[in-house]
Amino acid sequence: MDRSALDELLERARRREPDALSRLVDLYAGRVYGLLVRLTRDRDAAEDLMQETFLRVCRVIDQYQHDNRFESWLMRIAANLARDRARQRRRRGVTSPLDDDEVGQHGELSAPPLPRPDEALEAAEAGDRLEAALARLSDPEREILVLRHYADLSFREIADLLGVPLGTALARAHRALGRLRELMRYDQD
Amino acid sequence: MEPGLHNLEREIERARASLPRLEAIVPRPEAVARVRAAVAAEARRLRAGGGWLRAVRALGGVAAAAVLVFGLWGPRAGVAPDADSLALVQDWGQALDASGTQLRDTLLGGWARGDRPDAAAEVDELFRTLELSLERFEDL
Repeated sequence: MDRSALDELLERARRREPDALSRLVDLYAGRVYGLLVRLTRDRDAAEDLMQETFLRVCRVIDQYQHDNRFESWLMRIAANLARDRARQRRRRGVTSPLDDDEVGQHGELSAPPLPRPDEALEAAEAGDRLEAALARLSDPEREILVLRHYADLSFREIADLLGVPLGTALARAHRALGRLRELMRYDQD
Repeated sequence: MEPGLHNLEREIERARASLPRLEAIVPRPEAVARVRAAVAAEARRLRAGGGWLRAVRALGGVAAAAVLVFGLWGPRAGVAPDADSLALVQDWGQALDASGTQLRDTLLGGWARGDRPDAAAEVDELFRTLELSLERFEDL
């Protein structure tokens, strides 16, 4: 969707036209859901949070400043909700997001939905290795890489979101990338 | 950004660029449909609520305008303040001041923490000054 069409859609969404808001769901549900699954490691929770994200958007869209970064704004809302959920779970004493029952009833995260064509196999395997390695990182390490690599937030935006100085965010990302490479090499061997 | 951080960010971005692409994780169509329905319902609810709020605001605006018009063009009897009225206003102002000071002293003095033995008497005094200020207001 080009910028002017998106601006027009956002303007209509700002007026809370149901059609426009539904269209935003169609456009961004996949990206939001992907981010939430990777942050929570739980497909059921990701579905609930996806709904909460778009409801939040509906309520606060008049606060969105037109800076052509709608997707980042949306991703920040989703990431904040995922963080709130993680905080609540920590308070309740749920510490391991990778327990078997956390995967959800809709299957393993990296399960391929369809057989892949041969030419895409290598890339897909690399993607699977990355996915598996990400899953083995600590929550803060995975969070920062997913926010940068998947949600496409800048490190400044990530630092603001996490409430840490930019240097801390960069150091965490650097450490996480190092560990990720190690894990991927280990998986390959 | 400091040069050290800038270099670190460049190094991270180089390493990140070598990562393979992550596959899209697609939500179930029924989950998306549920979100779509929830959002549309919320939008309708907010629009209806917004309409009600606008009506209240409009009524408030009309009421304020009526008060203003009445104040400007309404009956003028007693508009010029006499000495008694001014004295009453001053009395009220002083009583209000005294009440406010009493409240502040009582609260800052630790009444809320319960570590003041004479707190009950002070609270009585607070209410007495408050009552006095209200009486003065009624006199107005």
